[in-house]
Amino acid sequence: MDILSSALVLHVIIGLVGIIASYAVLMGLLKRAPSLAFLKYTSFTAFASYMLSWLIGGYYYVIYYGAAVKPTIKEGAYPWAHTLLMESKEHIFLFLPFLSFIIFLVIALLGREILEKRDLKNSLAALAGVVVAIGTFIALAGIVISGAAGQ
Amino acid sequence: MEKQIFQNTKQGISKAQIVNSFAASAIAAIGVIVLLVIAGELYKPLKSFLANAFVHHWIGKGVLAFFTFAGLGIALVFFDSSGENTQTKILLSFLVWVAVLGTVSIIVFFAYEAFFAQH
Amino acid sequence: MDWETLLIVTHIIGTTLGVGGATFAEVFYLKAIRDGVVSPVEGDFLKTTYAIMRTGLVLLVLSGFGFLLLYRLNGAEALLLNGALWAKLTIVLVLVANAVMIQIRKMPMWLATSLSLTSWYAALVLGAWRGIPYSFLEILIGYVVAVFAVAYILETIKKAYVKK
Repeated sequence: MDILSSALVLHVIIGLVGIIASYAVLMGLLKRAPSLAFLKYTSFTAFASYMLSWLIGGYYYVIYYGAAVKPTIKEGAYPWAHTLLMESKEHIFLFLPFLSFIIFLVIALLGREILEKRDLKNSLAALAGVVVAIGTFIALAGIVISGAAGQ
Repeated sequence: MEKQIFQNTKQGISKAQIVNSFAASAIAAIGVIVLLVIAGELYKPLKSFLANAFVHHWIGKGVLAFFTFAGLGIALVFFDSSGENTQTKILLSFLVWVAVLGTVSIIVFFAYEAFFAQH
Repeated sequence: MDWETLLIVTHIIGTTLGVGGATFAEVFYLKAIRDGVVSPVEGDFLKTTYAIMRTGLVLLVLSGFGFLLLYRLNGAEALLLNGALWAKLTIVLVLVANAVMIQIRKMPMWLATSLSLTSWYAALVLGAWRGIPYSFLEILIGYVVAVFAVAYILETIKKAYVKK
């Protein structure tokens, strides 16, 4: 497998691990008695995954996508896969490292308060839910973009 | 009395203060991303400037958002003393709404650009 | 073992754990509520079953995306826009959302249990059925009908089985 294919594979799998970890954070926070150790571990995994996926995906995007994939999609049957989905995906993705870092920071520094104060826990759960929703949108958009590249 | 860290500062910095500062800077970073994305498409010299200065416009947006987040976050930790947990809840709720509205704004903007805009 | 075989094996294990977990979750749930009280042992059985289902879901999603990458790298990108694939993705999303709704108690149990059971069996059928002749919309309409049919069957069983 060449370096670009490896970058694509790693970007997708690590990004997916990030979404799964964020989902685990969400489900953990929704429990009546969340485990602080589990929340710390999963929220850090989510943050680290988004950072890695950002770097690897960024490499693939800057080096290869713009020159080789984008023109194919724009001339193909579904040009909106780039003009709408890719343009949205690449920019909305930039939210994830910041949002996931905040979730990790709150859990790492205010873990005890989260367990005691329900409204704080609910606000953090809402944030984790937004991260899962954004991550899912990005993953699904990626499938359409890849599909459109072959049309 | 909440546990204080960084005791070398005048009043100490609470953990909530650190969280609040970075939550506020995350709101600003997302605002910067949305602003740069939309302004860059409507005013092409801005996009070209980002591309020239940072190799690629997307890298430029990421780098500027990162420096907004880190710079403002650190500055607020030391200059803003509002380290109350009630503020954390409000800031997190605000961050949720900013992230949702930012996401919707970007999608709607590119949907308009893709299907309706005259270029 | 090549990548494709590894993905097939992982996908089958994930689906098996999910379908088996969903089936036993339903059986244990019915047994647990029969006397009107969920005992600690029954609760523990249910928790373990849900953990197995979640493990199955993670394996299913990871191996599923592995297949999508394989299509992309082998030049079979057209398969990524296949209606049956998107129906399966939608059903997996329903499973994920259903788990959240159950956790925040915003979903009536009759619908939640039916959604879980039907979604897992639907994922199994869609994964095993090669060359499905139906569109995305047709599959989803069939799925929605199945959800309500299964809900009706489960409620009928519950009425007959659970002590008054």
